[in-house]
Amino acid sequence: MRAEWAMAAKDLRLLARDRTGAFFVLGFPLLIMVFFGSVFGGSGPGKGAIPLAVADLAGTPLAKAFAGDLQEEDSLQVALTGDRTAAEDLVRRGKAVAAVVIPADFDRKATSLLQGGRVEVELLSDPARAAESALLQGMLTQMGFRTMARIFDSPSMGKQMITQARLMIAAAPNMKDDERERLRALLDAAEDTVVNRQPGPAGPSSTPSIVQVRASELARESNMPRNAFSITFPQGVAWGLMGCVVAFGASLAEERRRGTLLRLVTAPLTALQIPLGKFMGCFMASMTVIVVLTAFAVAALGVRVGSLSMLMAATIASAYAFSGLAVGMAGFFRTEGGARSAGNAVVLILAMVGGGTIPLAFMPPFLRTASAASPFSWSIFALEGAVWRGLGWMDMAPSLLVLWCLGTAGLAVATLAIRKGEA
Amino acid sequence: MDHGFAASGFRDAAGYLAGVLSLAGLVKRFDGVAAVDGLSLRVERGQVFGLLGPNGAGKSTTIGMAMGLLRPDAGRVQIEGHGDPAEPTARRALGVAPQAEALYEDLTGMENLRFFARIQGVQDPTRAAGEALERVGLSPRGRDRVKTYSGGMRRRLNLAAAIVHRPPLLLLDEPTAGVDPQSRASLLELVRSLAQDGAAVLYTTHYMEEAAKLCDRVGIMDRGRLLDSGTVDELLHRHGTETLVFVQRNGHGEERVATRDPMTVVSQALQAGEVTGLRVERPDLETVFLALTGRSLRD
Repeated sequence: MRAEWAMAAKDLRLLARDRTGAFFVLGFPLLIMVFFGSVFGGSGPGKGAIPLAVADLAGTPLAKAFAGDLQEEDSLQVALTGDRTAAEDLVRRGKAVAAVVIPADFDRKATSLLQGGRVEVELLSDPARAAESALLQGMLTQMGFRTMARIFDSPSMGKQMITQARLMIAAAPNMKDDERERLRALLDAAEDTVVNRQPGPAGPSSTPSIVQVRASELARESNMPRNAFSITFPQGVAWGLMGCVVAFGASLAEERRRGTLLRLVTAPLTALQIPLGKFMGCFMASMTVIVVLTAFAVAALGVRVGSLSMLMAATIASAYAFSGLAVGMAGFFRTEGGARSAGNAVVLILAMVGGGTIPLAFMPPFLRTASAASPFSWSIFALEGAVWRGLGWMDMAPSLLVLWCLGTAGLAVATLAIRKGEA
Repeated sequence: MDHGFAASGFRDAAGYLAGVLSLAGLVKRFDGVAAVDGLSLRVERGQVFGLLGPNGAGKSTTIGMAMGLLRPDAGRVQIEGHGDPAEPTARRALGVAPQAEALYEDLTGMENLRFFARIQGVQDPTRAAGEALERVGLSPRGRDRVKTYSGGMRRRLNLAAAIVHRPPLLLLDEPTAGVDPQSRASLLELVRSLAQDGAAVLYTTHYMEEAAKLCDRVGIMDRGRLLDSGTVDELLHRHGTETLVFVQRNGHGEERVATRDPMTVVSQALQAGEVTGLRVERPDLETVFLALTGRSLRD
């Protein structure tokens, strides 16, 4: 394998020194990924505020005030919805870190504090955003204190609460008379304080909060992307792979033009070793492209990988397939002009049909069916499967198999071309 | 000038003693037309064999068969006793300098040679590349990219790539094409020194004077056949016996006379009068070529 490694290393070095080629292999796909992700409404970390969905099922004054408190928080970017499903959907699509569900009986429960009542606010969070979820729990508890202070600051709400408590005391069957009298006296004193006092600023007190946060993780629906970058990430990868195919597809023709192919075919190498060396170079370049784009997508664009092992399998299979395509093209087109013009046109069409320009997820059904003819679609499907489609190994198997067959076929074509053309 | 290459390379290389190229009765046809027709030649160790012929004579086809890239329809190629030039052992014995500068422009001279050494299976490619660079006098520029080299430097590097694995047989296809006279002289000296170190060299060229100066033996090819071969003196003796006399007369074009008695021709021309110019060319390879093929080498 020494000669093959030497050829691969040489091709990678040449690619790295060709600034235009290197840009189209790595820089351009990054731009595509970021540009289209932004166009499609991508959201990622780093924008400051935590995106939060709030479903106000009550719509009552206290509930509105509670939601309003959340909206006024600078550290939160609240999307207010009227129903629970819409809020959950925002979380599943990665548009919100969590959803807060304000129950329909918020005000009733909030004003029954003296009867032992307690409001239960649900916090449905993205399992992948545990840190932000913990922060949100703290913030909701704080909002609960504000709500309680609001109740005590409002004479009408305070009077209503005390009236309800008097009725409950009067109706209590097993209460002794002296106890009942003492509680009435307490309520009178409380009424005097709450109803006749001047309202003060709302804020936390030492009183236990009436709002209890019930936090739970929201199971992600497997067939929804987290954000727009999750969709454009495989698209960017497709462009990167296309750059590799274009760069390496013409390399044999280039070697032929330069005359260096003569040195290769007169060296003590077999007909397989020459395309294998090219294949390995293209494979390493493709792997580098996918790994770099993935790292960027995860670190900077908030893309979350559903299954790392599947992503690795999809990455290797894609790099293998497109390396085969590159050397197959290299063997098929004998002239550099043919390899560059016809080859590029073929690859561009395959990339467009396969989801390189319009993401597969946004394609109409008929075009999605037609895209099966393009290796790009198999690669994108495999990458999407690993990132956000939540596919199992059995679902992934056809894509991986097709990509493997494509890579092997390309290598075989190139070997035959070398054997036929140069021997 | 040895550069220490001979002691460490050619002379001690395994199989060196059998380091010859032998082509016997080679025939190659394309679409029924014979590009090479019954060609036989032999290149011995330490010998530079010049293969001369006009375009279309069959030189490239012959070299292609010698390299193992074309399979002959008949005949046999032997490199160091190996009957199949496509065998890895035979290929290791072969160094090729194609007419095109077969180099990677975006790699340095050193990187180019190290790569070619690696694919040839050389154990210490860096050392081999360094020695080859030194041999062709490019060590000071070894770390520069080839695209910054002059034409003559590229030609030298092209030759270095052929010798980096120290093959006993070199196939050099017009290695001086398009270079300035100074670089050509340097390249010829280099090829001569390689032969002195024991390499067998098959050398094609369009330059008669270059072949006469460099080659131990010369073969003249035309229409796929080797018309004759031998030392330059042998060829001159056999075919170059006539001297060319060029006479320019007032109002007339130049008249060329091939003769075995140039003095008489000159005397007669002067006696006839109106001579404005007179030139006598002694027989050389060009004369031999004309005598053998009836046309100029560059036709």
